[in-house]
Amino acid sequence: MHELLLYGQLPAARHDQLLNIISGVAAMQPDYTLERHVIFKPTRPLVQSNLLRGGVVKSDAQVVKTKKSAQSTAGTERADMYHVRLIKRVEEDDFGGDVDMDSVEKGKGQGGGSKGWRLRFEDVPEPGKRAALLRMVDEQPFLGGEISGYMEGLGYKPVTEYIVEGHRAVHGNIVLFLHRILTRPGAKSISINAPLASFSDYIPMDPANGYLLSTTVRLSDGGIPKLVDMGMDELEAFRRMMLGVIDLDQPDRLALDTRVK
Amino acid sequence: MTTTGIFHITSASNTASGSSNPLQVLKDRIITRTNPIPIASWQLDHRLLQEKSLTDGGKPPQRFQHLLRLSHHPSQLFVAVSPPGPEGEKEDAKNAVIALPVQQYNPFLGLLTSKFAAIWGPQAYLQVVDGMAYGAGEFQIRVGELRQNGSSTPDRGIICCIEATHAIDDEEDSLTPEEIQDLEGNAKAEIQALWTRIGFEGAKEVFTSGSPDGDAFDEARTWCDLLKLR
Repeated sequence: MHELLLYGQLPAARHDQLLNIISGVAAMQPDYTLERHVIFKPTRPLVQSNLLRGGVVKSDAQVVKTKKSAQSTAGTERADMYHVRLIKRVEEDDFGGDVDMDSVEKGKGQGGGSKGWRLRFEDVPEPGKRAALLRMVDEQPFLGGEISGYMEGLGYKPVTEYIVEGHRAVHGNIVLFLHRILTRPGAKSISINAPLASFSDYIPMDPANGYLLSTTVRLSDGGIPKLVDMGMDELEAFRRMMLGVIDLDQPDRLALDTRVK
Repeated sequence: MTTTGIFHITSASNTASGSSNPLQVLKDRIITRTNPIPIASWQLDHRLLQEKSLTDGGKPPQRFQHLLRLSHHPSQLFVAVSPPGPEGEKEDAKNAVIALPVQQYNPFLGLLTSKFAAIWGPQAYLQVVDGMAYGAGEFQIRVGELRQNGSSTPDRGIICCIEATHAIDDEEDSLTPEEIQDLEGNAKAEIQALWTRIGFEGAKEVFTSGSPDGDAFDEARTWCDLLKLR
């Protein structure tokens, strides 16, 4: 599955105004959403890839040696390794409570445990000049089982965790998500089974408390140009409609690069 | 609570007097000796992936990932993976098993082989053909021929799985661990007795360690251990 993406930023003071505008445009009450995101990184070290690292003048003998070693490793695939994330929808009631070691071990407790997680994989956005960012995404819902054990076995360990708080609405084929990211500074070990701390412990990641509006269109197949154009046109029409209200733009492509470097 | 026994008959261990179609012989024996009711056809799909070695030419670690689809658990795709850590560190470290919606079989397999290719490489693809499920009293018997796709030796023998269900009173926490072990032991003995009645010798036997909850995951774990064929 592919995704077309545009982002806009706005200060906290305009949040309510934009929420009203979105409700009007989408003709629906936006859905208040709280999501827990845990980012995973591969545990195995990154193997030196065949990337050309420029800027070094080598003697002929050294160049030959590098070429030979590159050839000998050319047979094995130097595939990229990616970060992945696990997302779970949580409710306000899931917050709060002390971090109790017993509950952590049993995997129970508010906001933790094995139910409701989905794996989200986001590829590097495609290069090229377009009206919106195009990237491959894949989401796999986990129906149950030992998810924490599975991620470890898969070769991944959790590195970051944060909460996304926002409102979601749908306008045609576009999903509008007005949200901000909350983190808990001083969180020590990260585990998907750990219960959530109290909501007041979470502070916005942005010190200015700004909000993000993400507008996304999902495509079943990003390889069909006609489908991509249809999605682009719809997103472009929405962007034009919102001129003067909010500026919607593409983020830097490499800022959304999920590969391990 | 269910206990499942899985019996794997390879052609080497097959003692059915050199018959050219051991699966049919087994089905006939089941029908004549246990008087069952046919339920439905039975399918199994198993993909094995192996973790790639960290360095070129290094010995590949013995860690596997399995994708398992069983037609008697129609809505779930089971994914099992061996725990990390050096081989033999924890002798009885069990595979972690999760479930995905079965529609995600091809998308998830594609994701693993393309985007996780740095860590996992596809290894084997096993399928059960001509499978049949029978109900015989409190047992469910499923048989089929195991074939490996895309291999020079596609014939991998016959698989027979016998599942025994026992009803438990629906009172919470009413079973002590000893009672659970007793039930388990009884079920295992019953399944073995049934297998002896069917009369195929030389099969490799594995049993699920029954637990009151998470039966399907235990069963998937047992299947994956067997279907590694190593």
